Amino acid sequence: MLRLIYALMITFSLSLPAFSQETPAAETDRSATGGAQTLEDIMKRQEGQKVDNSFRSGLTGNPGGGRATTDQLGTLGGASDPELWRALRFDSADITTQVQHPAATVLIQDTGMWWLQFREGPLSKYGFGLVLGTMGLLVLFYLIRGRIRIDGEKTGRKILRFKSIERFAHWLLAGSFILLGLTGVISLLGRKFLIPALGPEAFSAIAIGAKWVHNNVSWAFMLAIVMIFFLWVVHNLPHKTDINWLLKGGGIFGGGHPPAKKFNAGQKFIFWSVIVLGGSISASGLSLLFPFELPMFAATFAKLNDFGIPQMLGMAELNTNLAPHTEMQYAQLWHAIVSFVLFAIVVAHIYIGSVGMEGAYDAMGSGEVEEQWAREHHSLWVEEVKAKEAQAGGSS
Amino acid sequence: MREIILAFAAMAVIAVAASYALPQMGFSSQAQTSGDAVRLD
Repeated sequence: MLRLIYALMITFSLSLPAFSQETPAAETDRSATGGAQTLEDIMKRQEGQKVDNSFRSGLTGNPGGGRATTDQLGTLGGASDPELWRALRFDSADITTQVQHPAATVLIQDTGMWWLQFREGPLSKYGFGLVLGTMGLLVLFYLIRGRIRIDGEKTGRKILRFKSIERFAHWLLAGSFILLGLTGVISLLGRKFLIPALGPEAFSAIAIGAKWVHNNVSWAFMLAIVMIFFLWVVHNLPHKTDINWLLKGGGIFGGGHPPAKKFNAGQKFIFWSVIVLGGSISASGLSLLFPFELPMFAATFAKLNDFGIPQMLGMAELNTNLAPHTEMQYAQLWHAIVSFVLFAIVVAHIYIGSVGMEGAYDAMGSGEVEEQWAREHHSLWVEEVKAKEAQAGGSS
Repeated sequence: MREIILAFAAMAVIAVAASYALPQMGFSSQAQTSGDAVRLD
């Protein structure tokens, strides 16, 4: 399982922005300050620029080098107060605590503001931009193309397309995903948008409820993904007919209906998106559900470095020395980024399965579709069904 | 329609069961982050 999670994380970390790359710092003349910070460092920090702290992060004294306090005139230790604080600042101090989780020994970590600014800035801007942009394109598509109708004359005959268990798994996945999406957005941006609108008291109740729903409904989502995978994976393996379907654009702009089996290439794209992106969301979600227990990013970054992938992209090696909090921050960001991408894909799926195509909803509503619809969109599958029926009729 | 209702009902049952079972199994934050010397309510 752990290997699967790593594989998923590695696969999708390819598109991660290079948040953690370290750029080599130019040598700075510190003679004027005796090797300490310069005005340039302070100005950089005030302007929010990256400051290379390597010149001082290791200056933490020698804690084991002091004379024992039991000695006459014994020292307090081998580290001065500034050196002690520096060790705390750069997370190299030897901290002992009764609190059990790994993050308890990290007293200062400095990636929190970057995390907050990234969430409220690029993440929300591009995340919502992607989802709303997809919705806008679908509206435009609807205005241009209109509803995809059943071209031929309806037969009045129905074919069973999805069994009860398949529809159950689909709606378990759909219902939980929508609920997780809504509660996830409340958790992600509620502080920025809902507190000003509703006030802190009302938002508190909403946030607590959203967190409860998000944490506990996640199990239904994960169960549904497993069910969907086993129910449909056989029908979603690549097939030579997919190439023709893709070349004809699924016949979506006219030009006839390319033949397809139970699932066409477009549906296979949706299926694998749900499995792979949903699996990745589940992996990062588990990391968030069990804080500090399932860190993934340092290990993933190490593997990416070993494969030489950042170097191939012209980047420095990814930072593999991540504080426990940083691991959680990456997990949260990854969770949100992949969720936005999957949401955009699912919006298109919802469109084509409802208002976008006549007869499509029946497949997941009653489970039975109009035979003419099936012949137009899944002709090879209809032939398979008819052949099975004929075989069953002949043998009975 | 029956499957939609069943699925949504199952979702609710799973959520309630998870919220009950995980703390019982010792996965609450307080149980996870405290040592043996700490008495939990």
